[in-house]
Amino acid sequence: ASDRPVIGNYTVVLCCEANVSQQGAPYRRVTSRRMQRKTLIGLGGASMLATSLAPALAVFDAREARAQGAPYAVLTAQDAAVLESLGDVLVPGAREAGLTHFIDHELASEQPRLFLRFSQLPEPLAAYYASWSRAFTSAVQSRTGKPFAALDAPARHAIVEALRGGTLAPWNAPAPAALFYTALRLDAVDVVYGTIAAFERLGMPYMPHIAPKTTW
Amino acid sequence: MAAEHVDAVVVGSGAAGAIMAAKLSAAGKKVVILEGGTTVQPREMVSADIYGRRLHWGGPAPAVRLATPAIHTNFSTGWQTGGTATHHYAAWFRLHEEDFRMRSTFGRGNDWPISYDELRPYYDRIQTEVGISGDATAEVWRPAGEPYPMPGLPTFAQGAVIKRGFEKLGMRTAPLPVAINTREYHGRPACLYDGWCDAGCPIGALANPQTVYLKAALAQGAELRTHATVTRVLTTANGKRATGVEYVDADGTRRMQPADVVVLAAFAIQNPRILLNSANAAHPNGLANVSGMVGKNLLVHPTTNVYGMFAEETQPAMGVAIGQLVSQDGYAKDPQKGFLASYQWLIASAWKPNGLLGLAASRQELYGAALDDFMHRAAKHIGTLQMVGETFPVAENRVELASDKDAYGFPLARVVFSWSDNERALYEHASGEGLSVLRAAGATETWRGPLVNQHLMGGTIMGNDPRTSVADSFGVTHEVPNLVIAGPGLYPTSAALNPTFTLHALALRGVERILRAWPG
Repeated sequence: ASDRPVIGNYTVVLCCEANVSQQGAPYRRVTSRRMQRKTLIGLGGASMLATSLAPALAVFDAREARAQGAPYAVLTAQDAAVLESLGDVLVPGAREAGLTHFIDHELASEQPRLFLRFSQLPEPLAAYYASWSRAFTSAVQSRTGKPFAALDAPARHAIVEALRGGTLAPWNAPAPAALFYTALRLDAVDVVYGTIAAFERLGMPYMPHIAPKTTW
Repeated sequence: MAAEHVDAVVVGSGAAGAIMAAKLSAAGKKVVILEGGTTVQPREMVSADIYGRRLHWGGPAPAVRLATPAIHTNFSTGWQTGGTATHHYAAWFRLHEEDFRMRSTFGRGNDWPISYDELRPYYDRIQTEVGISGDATAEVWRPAGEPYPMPGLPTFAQGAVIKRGFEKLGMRTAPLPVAINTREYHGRPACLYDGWCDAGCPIGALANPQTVYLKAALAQGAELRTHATVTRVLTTANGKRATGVEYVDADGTRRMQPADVVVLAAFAIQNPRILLNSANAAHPNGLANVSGMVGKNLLVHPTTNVYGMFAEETQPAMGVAIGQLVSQDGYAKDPQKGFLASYQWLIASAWKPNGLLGLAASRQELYGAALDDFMHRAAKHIGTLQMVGETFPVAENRVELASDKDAYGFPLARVVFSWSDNERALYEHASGEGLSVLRAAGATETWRGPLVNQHLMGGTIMGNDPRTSVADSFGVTHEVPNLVIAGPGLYPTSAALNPTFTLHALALRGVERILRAWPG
């Protein structure tokens, strides 16, 4: 018998009880240990029947993935370049933080945690990012005669305002331009401001019960 | 493939299913809980917004189709052990007496089939069992009831700053009543006020099903099967009794779970979907739907946030996700206001930088250097109020079956919902008031968010008249006496109060009635 928790086929070895921090020492960082792939086990004493569907909790570091030039699983290099170029304008630092590897990792997972899923659009979500990338490229080219990355700051600002306001035309994508702005901006916010290091930069205490091994 | 017959099968392991299973198993009943989602234990509740989203909109694919983007439902749902309550923020309010009689008072909307006085003892008992922190004296709007067993939440800088604005406008505040421990209670520790409630509370200070009623149910012998997606309720040939449910397990195998009593606790969207998908020769329009009311009167809480930036530091990371204080001075329903709805203010929620309720999402128009400047200022100086309002109940807001189907061949749920002028007028009134409060508190800049929704209620409303409701006040469906609805889907009106405390009280009242009159 074991009192270790079960997630699908994983037995999670966490210092869970150590995480029940007491008042007086509440914000000690507690780091998850490791996950071991195991066969299904019961939860000690309780007749819990857990069945297999392993959630995507594998360690993944988007910044490191980008630094290493890791291949994309879903995005094309061309689409990723467009997303990265725009995303870094929306949230400076998103490029190096691994924005497109984060998006790609989530799109490849069974349960994407991207903001876009909140919109409850029919899936798969990858199709939206691909169509947005191409619609954006086409619209910017049509409006300026240049790719977005080649524009100066005022021209980029004008494009972003048109995107945000839904007036960037022609817009040949099934989901609106304004949703593209919102989704990509919040994805970029995730990688730039959602990390423990980013909390520290902002002067916000992170105070985890169970610290993430990476941002996600 | 049929499993062993049990006394009760409970569909859903969220707040309503957990308390039903706990009380049934405590009475010696053999109980199986079927949860469509995955297994999540407190020890896996990692403190990160990105992780926490899986608790909201995890699952293999969206199970709900939206007819319009007026509302979204998946922030207010959950696909795991403990259901939506796994990530709930634990604002536990009693409904006000006036909430039970909207129609009899104003000639519009719906009445509840019970009064506050009938529900009060159940609120009191749940409060003792679970533990609620609050200050009953300071809550001058609170209906009669036993005082809270724990002292109220502490007020951190953000709450103190905003409270100043309410006081300047002559409005009252009180500690926000929460099912979060301010001291150790029933073996569960006190809160650390780190604001990670949305990612689940692994220490058990917040009363999630995993740490209270689901834990009790399992300890008493109830069996929980996750990845068990219920497709239909089965009945006898004449349709007069439920015989159990059909479900699909993780391997895709279709199974049957026979039971004396079927409890549907799959929340306000999936309960109607299951009933409609359970149509058979005796119930051609769906089970318990001779009235045509299954799915009708879907309710949400119209919500908006107002924000202010202050010169002083507000410690916005400190506290709990729901807030520190509450004000219900505007709660009274009064058509003279230009709308028929109650509303309240939840004050000073704990902040994180990212996520749907994070700093960056509060100013969608900012990007680039302007966003970074805002993030640095807001991380130390922001303050916020959240309005929780009431939806006027209309049958047209509804759950129905979609044209597309799930992996097992059953139609998905389709949500049809639109805001009325009543909610829009409420939004304008309340957001204006909120901005005034923040300015009075000294905010140097203020802004408001859009009209959005939270919480799901209705869709299988209770009532005394089988022609206009699906179930009676105990949750027992009018047509099938051993088929019981549990959860906020029973609410005939939404009130303007977070629903979880009331659903517990209703479920306790319902399950005790069922146990007294066990079908057989």
